[in-house]
Amino acid sequence: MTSAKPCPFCGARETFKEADFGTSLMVSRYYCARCHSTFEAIKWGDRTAPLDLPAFLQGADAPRHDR
Amino acid sequence: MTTPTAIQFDTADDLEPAAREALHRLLIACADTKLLLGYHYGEWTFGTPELEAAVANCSLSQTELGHVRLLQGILQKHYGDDPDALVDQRPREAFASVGYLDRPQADWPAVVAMCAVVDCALTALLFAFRDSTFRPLRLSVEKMLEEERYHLHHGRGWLRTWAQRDEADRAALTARVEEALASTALWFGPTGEPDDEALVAAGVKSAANPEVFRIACDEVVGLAAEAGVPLQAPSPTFGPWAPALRRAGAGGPEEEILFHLRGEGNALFKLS
Repeated sequence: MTSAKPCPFCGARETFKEADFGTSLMVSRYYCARCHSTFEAIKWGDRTAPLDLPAFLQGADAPRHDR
Repeated sequence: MTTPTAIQFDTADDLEPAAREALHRLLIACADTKLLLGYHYGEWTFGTPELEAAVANCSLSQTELGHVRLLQGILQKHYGDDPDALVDQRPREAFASVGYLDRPQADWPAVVAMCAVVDCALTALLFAFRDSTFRPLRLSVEKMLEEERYHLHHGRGWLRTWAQRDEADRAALTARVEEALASTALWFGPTGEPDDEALVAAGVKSAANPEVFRIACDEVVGLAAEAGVPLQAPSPTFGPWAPALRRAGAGGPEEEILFHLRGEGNALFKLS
């Protein structure tokens, strides 16, 4: 399955998520099928990556700021 | 869950005394549970079925410990609790963590159940704080929920994966998940519990604990059924349930676990 993350090295859209957890807490790991690079992208606040979530979290919007 | 209210409390002292004390007990119980979750995820940063699961557990452990710090920050500022003392100076019997976490997680299905059940149910509780009238908690809960999305995604994925294995593995998964459900149901407490009613009445949380647990339990049972693993929903017997401990009888994390959590082996090197 391709992801919405463009490769930061070659710009290709033929990328897919390899792992939800990366080298730091805030990133997921991706792989570019064109240039074969591995890269990471910030996951917090990202609503483009499909996640398998319980119903009570499915409709939750991105983090709300100071209220 | 009910809709948010315009009332807002900026400090715990602004709450009615019953709600103030109930919130104190519940926050300690949440921090204790997250501390133990963090420990057990850390316990499984090796020996996982896949290397990626080890990396994930490392992240899950760190985020849970980060959440402990968030909750301890509220406890320190609003209740004068010393974060170190909460971990180092309480006997095991005083911990209010979910009983399922009292012992080492013996196998991978136990870890999957911990994530898919205990972590999920605690996240449902955090979600019930999202429109809290107690502003410090409302602000802190956003970060926790953002991170928990990935915990639950991870736990549900592994539950689905393990449900496709052979009969023995599926039976082990069933046993662990049902054990985790029963233990977590006990932690959430009985209907009409006075602390719980005080917190809902004050708008600190949007739903009563048994309702929060039911939402989480339905999710787990539904997910397991979809994966071909029928589960028995728990029917807890609460007996002399104590809100400060969130369990019906004696318990608490094993001393060996507390030894590691407290860093007693490194006591000489601890910063005061």
